[in-house]
Amino acid sequence: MRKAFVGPIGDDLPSVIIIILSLIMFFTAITYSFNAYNQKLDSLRLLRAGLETGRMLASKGVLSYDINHYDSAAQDIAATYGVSIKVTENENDCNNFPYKLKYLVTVMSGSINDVELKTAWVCVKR
Amino acid sequence: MKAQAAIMDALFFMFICASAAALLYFTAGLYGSNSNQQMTALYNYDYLKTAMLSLHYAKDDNGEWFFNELGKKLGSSDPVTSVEDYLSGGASNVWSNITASAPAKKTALHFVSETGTDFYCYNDVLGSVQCDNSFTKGSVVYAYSVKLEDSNGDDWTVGLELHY
Repeated sequence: MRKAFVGPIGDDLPSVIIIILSLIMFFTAITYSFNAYNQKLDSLRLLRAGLETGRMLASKGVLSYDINHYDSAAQDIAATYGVSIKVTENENDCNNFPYKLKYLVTVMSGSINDVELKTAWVCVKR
Repeated sequence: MKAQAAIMDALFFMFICASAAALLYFTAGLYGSNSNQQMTALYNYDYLKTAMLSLHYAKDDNGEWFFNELGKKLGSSDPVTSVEDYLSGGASNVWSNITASAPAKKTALHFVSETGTDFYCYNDVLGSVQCDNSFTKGSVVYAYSVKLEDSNGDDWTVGLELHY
């Protein structure tokens, strides 16, 4: 007995299902890869902005003003990289920041004989 | 027979798609990890360089320049004990600032003299300063060192080390 004709696609339905599943798998992998790529690019940009801020802050070793004073100077770097940067001596100010870089700095108040060692925090987020 | 051939072709296509997807997953996972490691290394070197520079301007609890006093302690007859006493006494504030600001789990000051004396100063498990040669190094070490002349005119290499 001859089988009934299901149609041009109906005859190949099992293979069509396999092909569709394969395409879904492939495009899911592409979407995942793009997301992972963007996330890594983003984290590298945040880290780079933090490093540049840290160099601006601590490259001389001694600061003429208090650490919090340098927060406004860091906003230029933040604008360049399109991120939010906080420069502070208090870690609690950085609670919502995923990237926190610490630096050891000497803060000079008045003369070079009046110095104090402190920890400066450079915190970066999107 | 025709339908079986079509399914075979579809399975081949699925195999190719699965291979491409697996390749994408792996490359996406690996992408940027090398750059991230380099950036982390850059940060550690930046930290060490600026910390050493800051220590040049630092004063101890008695208002004396930290490196000057360190030079005097290194020139004593027993430099290991003198430096340990200094870091836990007169320069305890400087030492606590170094360990508090360091990004690594273990931070050490490494002293090497031209006469062959070699020791580390670090915090032990109880958090007190210990200077000796039994310091357990980490698997990844970042270091930055400077030359320091002691009170006898001998040269020392003083290194700040971050151990991960």
